[in-house]
Amino acid sequence: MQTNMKKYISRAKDFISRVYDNKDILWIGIYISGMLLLILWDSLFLNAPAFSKVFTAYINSIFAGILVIVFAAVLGWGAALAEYYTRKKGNKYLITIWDLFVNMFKSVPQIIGILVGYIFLAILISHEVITGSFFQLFWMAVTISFFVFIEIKELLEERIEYYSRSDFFNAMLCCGIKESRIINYEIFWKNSRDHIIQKLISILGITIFLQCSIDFIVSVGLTSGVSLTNFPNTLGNVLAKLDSKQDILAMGNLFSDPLYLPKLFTTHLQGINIAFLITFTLLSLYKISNGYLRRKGL
Amino acid sequence: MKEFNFNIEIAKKGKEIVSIEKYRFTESKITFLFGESGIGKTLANKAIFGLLDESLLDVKINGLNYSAFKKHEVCRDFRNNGFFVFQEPSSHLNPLIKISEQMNEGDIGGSRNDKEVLEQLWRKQFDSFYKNVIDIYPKPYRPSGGEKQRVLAAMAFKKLRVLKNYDSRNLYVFDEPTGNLDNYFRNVFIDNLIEQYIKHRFTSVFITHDYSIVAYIQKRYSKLLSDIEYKELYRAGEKSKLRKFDSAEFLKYDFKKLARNSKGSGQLKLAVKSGIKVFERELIFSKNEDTNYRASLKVNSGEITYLKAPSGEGKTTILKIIMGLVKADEFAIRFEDKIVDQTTLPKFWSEVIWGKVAGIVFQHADEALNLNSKVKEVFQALPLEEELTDLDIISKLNEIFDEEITEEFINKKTGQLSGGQKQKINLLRTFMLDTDIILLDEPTSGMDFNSIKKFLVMLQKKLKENKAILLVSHNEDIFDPLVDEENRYYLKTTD
Amino acid sequence: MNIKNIIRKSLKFDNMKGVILVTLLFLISFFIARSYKAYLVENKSDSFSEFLALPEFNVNDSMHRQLLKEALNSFYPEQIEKNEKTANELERYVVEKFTNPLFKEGADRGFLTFGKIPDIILRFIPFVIIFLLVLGITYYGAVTLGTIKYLNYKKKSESVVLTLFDFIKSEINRNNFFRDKKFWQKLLTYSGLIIIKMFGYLVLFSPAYVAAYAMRTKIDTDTYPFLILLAVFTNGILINYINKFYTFLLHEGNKGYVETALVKNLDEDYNNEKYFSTKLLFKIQKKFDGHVFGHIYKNAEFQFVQGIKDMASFLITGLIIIEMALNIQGHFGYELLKQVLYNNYDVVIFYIYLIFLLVKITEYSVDSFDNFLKRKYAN
Repeated sequence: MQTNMKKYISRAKDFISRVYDNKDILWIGIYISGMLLLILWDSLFLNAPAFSKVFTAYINSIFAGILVIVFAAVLGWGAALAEYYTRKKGNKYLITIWDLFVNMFKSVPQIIGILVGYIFLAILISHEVITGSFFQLFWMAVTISFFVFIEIKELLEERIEYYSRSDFFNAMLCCGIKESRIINYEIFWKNSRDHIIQKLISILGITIFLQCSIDFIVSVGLTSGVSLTNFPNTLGNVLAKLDSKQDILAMGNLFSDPLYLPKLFTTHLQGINIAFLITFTLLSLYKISNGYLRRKGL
Repeated sequence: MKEFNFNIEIAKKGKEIVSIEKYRFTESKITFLFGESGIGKTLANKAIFGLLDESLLDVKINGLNYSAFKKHEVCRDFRNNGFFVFQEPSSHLNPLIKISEQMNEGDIGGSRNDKEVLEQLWRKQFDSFYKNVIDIYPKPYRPSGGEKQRVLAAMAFKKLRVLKNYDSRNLYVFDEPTGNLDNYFRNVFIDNLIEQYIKHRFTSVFITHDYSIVAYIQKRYSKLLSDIEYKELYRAGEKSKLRKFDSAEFLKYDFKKLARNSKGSGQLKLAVKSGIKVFERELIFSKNEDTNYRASLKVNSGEITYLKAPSGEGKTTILKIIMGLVKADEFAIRFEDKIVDQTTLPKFWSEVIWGKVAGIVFQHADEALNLNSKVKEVFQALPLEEELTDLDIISKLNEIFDEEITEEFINKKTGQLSGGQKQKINLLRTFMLDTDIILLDEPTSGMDFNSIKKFLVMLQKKLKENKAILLVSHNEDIFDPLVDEENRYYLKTTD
Repeated sequence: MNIKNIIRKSLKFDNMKGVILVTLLFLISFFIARSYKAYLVENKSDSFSEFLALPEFNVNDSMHRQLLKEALNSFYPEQIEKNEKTANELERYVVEKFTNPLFKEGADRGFLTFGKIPDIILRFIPFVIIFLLVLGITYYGAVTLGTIKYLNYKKKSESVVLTLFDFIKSEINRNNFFRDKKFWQKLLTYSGLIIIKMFGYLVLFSPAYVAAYAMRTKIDTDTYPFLILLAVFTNGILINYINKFYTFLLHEGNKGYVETALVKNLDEDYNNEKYFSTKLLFKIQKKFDGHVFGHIYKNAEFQFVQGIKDMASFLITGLIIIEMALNIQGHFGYELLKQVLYNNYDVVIFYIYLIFLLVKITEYSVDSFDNFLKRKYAN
């Protein structure tokens, strides 16, 4: 029996060490199983309305996050091309104006830019220019994407620059191949796909972090003249709600009474749930993006 | 004399990348190792020198796993008593430590005999170059590639000097140590090497693509021929094998044969005026090696024009200026009836020249090709009037390739091919465009002798089609006989 | 004239140009915001303020409000819709008055005046100091821990999870191993380590406000030291930059010059205490001369300098998030949030401009330092 067991353990170790080399896949696995475990736990201990609130918030946040990376990809791509052709044209004024534009987005910390954008959104929402939670999420995503697309733009520029330094670009130009094809197809599509995917995963992480923070800030901050309460539920603003906040505060009890732990996971579940979802998602995205980087040898 | 014999298997993530059975060389001899690039010459030698990283590659040598081999006395002796001069000098010097310090680290520290070693490689007074070349941090363009290469060689010669017991097992690997040197310094290097060899009789492997070395050794060191071996690594299926390289065949080969057949109509297709101002210096053409008497560079249809220069003098720059890729401050070029100069807009080249009037083959196929596209996609990307079918591509490739080209081959990614194969595809891509003017930058780089012969036949065919060819190469033994005296130019710099 | 010089000069000029242009832009938007606010004040259009002044009218009493609405309807029956609107606005005003703490504080909704500027600057100075401290600590932590991570990789130390498997595999050979107390002790230790590691990860990746709220009942989270701790350890910043430095090391480790160093037979033993004792590893200025790693470290550190810019802007974002989310009264970030929510956009623009300057100055210093090094290495 023991030999059998030994075999199984040996096999299990081999399996684990193999997935250890592909950490992105490992972490996708960990993430999915973590989520399943969470759902199982919730179905036992979390009441139905709270569960549906948490669930919608999670779906909304992820959905907005994915929208952001789609927009960021499009914006970044457009901006990289715009930059390339502006520089090529060599018009000094155009370059200065362009630099200024890019500089603005780069030098104002993301969170402040997004905050200002949110205020603007809130005004539009309160005037009922934007209605329905889909469009609200849509415009939230647009706002955030304006402050994260720079990373994509810089990545794409780096790729163009990398291939311009070698004979790659020149050789193809001299064969009469169109510049736009060289950039978009040969460089971006054929040679940078992995880089772009990796960047998008890491941007998804940053986005979710920023989005949670901003939603938390405007909800917890002060409900004031610009009422942001009409925003759709996201992880950040559900966390800021009084009941969730109480749950998180309850974690402090652990310092004086470690036996409080089981109670934490049963009675204070909503807040713990949200906090865990945010943190676990961020951690997993980070690990996935890093693992992808190593696996593809970027 | 003892012979080393290694069976080398190198795999990456379970996929075999190099496999050589019976990699042999003899102790206390100099072995010149030829063969097309990318079939594992460098990797094999790094492997037996214990330099590979076993966390990235799975290496097996003579059945031993790599960490065991690294501890084996053969490997330890190679490392302790030998040296390895690497191929790319720029990346093999630390950019943040002064060269003079890097020459006095580890084993080669202590004995400060830099002066003598360096003077012999530079053929100059130590003080005349020490401050500008050695006592500085290495940067991409300063010192030049050739100078860096000599620095690395100097380290090996220093190691030879500090070695206590020359009878102990040792190995000195020189991986294309002359790739960045012009012919003069190449010969200086070889003289140095042989001089040391005569003194100490160490074991050496000399990896190179430069077949002219064979001729030089034949001429200068014929007495030493019994201590020198010529070998060639070649591809046999998925594996690489070693065979003797027939130096006699190379020495006897009649390159002139090709020249005699290739007299064209001699219409002027391209002319470049001597005296191009670029990067704060002036480049001039001369028909005479020793004087600066100026002459315009002329390229006629059905003929080859051969442009020569010491390395680092800007041969590639000239080709790039012709193709509008580098903007010179002052120049004048005539493409048939069109005259261009520094006032011409870049648009001219993209609309008129590229792919239509002139084509260029760059030296590094690795850079010029998209390594992530399939072989057939390289050709399908070209702006040709008719779309190429797979069969068209296969038949074109068969003209220059030794092996039978299959459907499978043209669906491979170019990155998986060997250096020689890549270079052939690089050449063929430009030839396929059928432009009247073709510029060639070191077209035979990375090729073995067989491929060179095939390439020359192809070149001859192009001449028959009345193409005008401008050639840049340091392989004078091959191209000098091919080109008429009047079509040879020398590129020179004045400040 | 040297090309390098020209480039350097133009670079400086571009930097300055950017700052000047953005300053102009800020000034313009400042005045736009200001005149917009003035316009709002002039056209204050709430239809109910005149009624607030009515004697005997208690706005907090819902019956009074109902009465007012009916009175309006009977006086102006022709504009029922308008009356309805007025009543609604009044309702909203009351709700806001109760729920919005700003009303209770007696919000300052005035313009930015010269008198307020010193106040803002006084709040800005501690912010800058904290930022610099956090930047320094994060940089040191990233470099040190990144180095240790690389050394572990080179030593091929296996992760705890794999070690656990090895342990079970070796134990299972013994008869009745599960009756042995030691087996369970070790098993527990390993599992404990794995749980601690996982927990550590969760803390490092948790947004600062989550971490802070979790401890708030026991620790005063609004103090400066705690703020610094949060800014360094949460938000995933530290771990991110540890990994970045580690990636640089990995990258440099595969470069050609490392091979040359190996051929020169520099020390390549990563267990050698002579180079890697704990004391040496935690030094601020690390040196590994004589070891192959010395070459690698030097290059990785040099490249990491540019990463400081990135790190700085992310740290500022993190700090602002912490101050805003934790509502730390009197701190720069929170005051900024307040101004945003008061709609005092002219003041907000001034705040943002200060942050912009901080980012730019950091960038400029990093660039100058980087240029200084580059000049040194460019001979």
